[in-house]
Amino acid sequence: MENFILFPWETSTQVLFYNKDLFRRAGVPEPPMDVTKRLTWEEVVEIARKVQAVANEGKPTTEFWGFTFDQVSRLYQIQALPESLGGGSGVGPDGLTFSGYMNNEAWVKAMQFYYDLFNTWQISPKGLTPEETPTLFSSGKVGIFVGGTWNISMFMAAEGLEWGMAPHPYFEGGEVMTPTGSWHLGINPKSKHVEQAVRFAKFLALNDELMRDWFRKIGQLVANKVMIDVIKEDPMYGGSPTIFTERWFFTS
Amino acid sequence: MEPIPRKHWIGTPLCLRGWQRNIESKKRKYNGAREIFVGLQNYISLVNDAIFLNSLKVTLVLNLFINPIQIAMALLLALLLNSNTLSIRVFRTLIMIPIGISLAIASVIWGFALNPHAGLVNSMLSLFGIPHQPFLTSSTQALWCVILIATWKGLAYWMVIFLAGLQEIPEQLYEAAIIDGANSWQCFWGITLPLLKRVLLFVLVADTTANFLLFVPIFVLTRGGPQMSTNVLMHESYSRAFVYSDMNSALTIVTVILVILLSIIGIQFKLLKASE
Repeated sequence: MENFILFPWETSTQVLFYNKDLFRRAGVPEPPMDVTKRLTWEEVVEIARKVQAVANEGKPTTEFWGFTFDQVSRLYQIQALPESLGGGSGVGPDGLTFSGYMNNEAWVKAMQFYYDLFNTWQISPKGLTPEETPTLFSSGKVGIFVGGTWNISMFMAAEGLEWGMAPHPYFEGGEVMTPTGSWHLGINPKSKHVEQAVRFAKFLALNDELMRDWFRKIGQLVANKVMIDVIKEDPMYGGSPTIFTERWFFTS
Repeated sequence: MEPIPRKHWIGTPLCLRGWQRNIESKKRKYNGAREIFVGLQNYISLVNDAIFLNSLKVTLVLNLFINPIQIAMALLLALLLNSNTLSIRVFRTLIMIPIGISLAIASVIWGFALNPHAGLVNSMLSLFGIPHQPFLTSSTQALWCVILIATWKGLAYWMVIFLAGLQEIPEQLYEAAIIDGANSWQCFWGITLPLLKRVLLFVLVADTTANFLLFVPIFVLTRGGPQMSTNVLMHESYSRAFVYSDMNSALTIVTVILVILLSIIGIQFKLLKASE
């Protein structure tokens, strides 16, 4: 064996998590799980402002927030904004040029939106790291949390938290864009134990039963078709695999 | 040009390796990476690099303030606590507590306390009618927050060294001065400070070095931000080495830090020795 080989293991998508209790208090209907009826960013801002105002009883907030991204200030999470406005990836085709790509009109508009979340509308908390935002949502302090599916296990374990999922938002009139990434079991061809490593990787990645349990317990999407069965059985996923599988097929 | 064999570097001290790598620049390919000699090109690139120049400015500004602040406060604390009564000893122990906490953990805790919305510090300020401050989220305040955290952590350590120096000064000198009618300021200026000079020189050099290499609170809390306002040279060097995989540029920066540090320490030695 000469090449570095990888077994597909986990994949991911970004969804909109919402706090059912805060939505109820603000009288906002729960967003549908249907990918054809996804919220626009404009609607998300409107809902977040309403939820935040009601939760804080109209006072300036120090406790409840309308909205937060999972991975604040990381390109992985934010790139979907300019992409939805047709601004491209921010890098030129040569992979080295940024000017004209990262400061085109769509990028400026998207970054203005990101700025407004924190400064103009003040619906997102400042000064948090990507490690802190999921705990803020799981402690019931955030109305809408747009983030990765790896947070599901933490939210399931959070006591008293009633939460739901909806598809990733997009800009009105823009394209639907969702960040994704995947994980693999890699085997180094220079290793002395390639054969054993391949056997172990097969045991993990190609084992339907193990992958089913992994998905149930961890919540992270797995690169195995058994995931679809779990989604269809489990009411938490609304019986509809589309919200995950639209990305799933691309990455696994 | 033949690639320089890697074996050549094994066993050379780190700073020499840094130097060697600085004068060799990379021409990386994923297979069969090799490096070529580029003379001083790495340094020439730095001079025209706005991010490096900003980082240099931030480092110098930080040190211009943090070192005098820490040394003056440590000396003041040492003078206040230079007595062996029980109550002072208890107090001394309390002030020493930050030494026992790792700087990484202290930074995380300070990060919570300095949270702009729900932090403890802002709650305390609002008791006095002061509006909420942005602290680490503001490009004008973040560097001062770093100074606060590093000083909170480092102060007691320098204080202990000053205390040791103070306790070395013989009591008779003060008695004699008081008999001659000296007031406490004259005692400090005429006895304490001159006899503390060796300790002061050590603290000055060691503290300057520590603060030039300050990295932890910046890495934990700001990552050089907001708007590069806390991007000290150590952090910029780290980013280039381990985020952008540009080891040569990172080591060039380390060499620059080393040169600046040695010149500053040289000046400090000269000033304190000359006035002896």
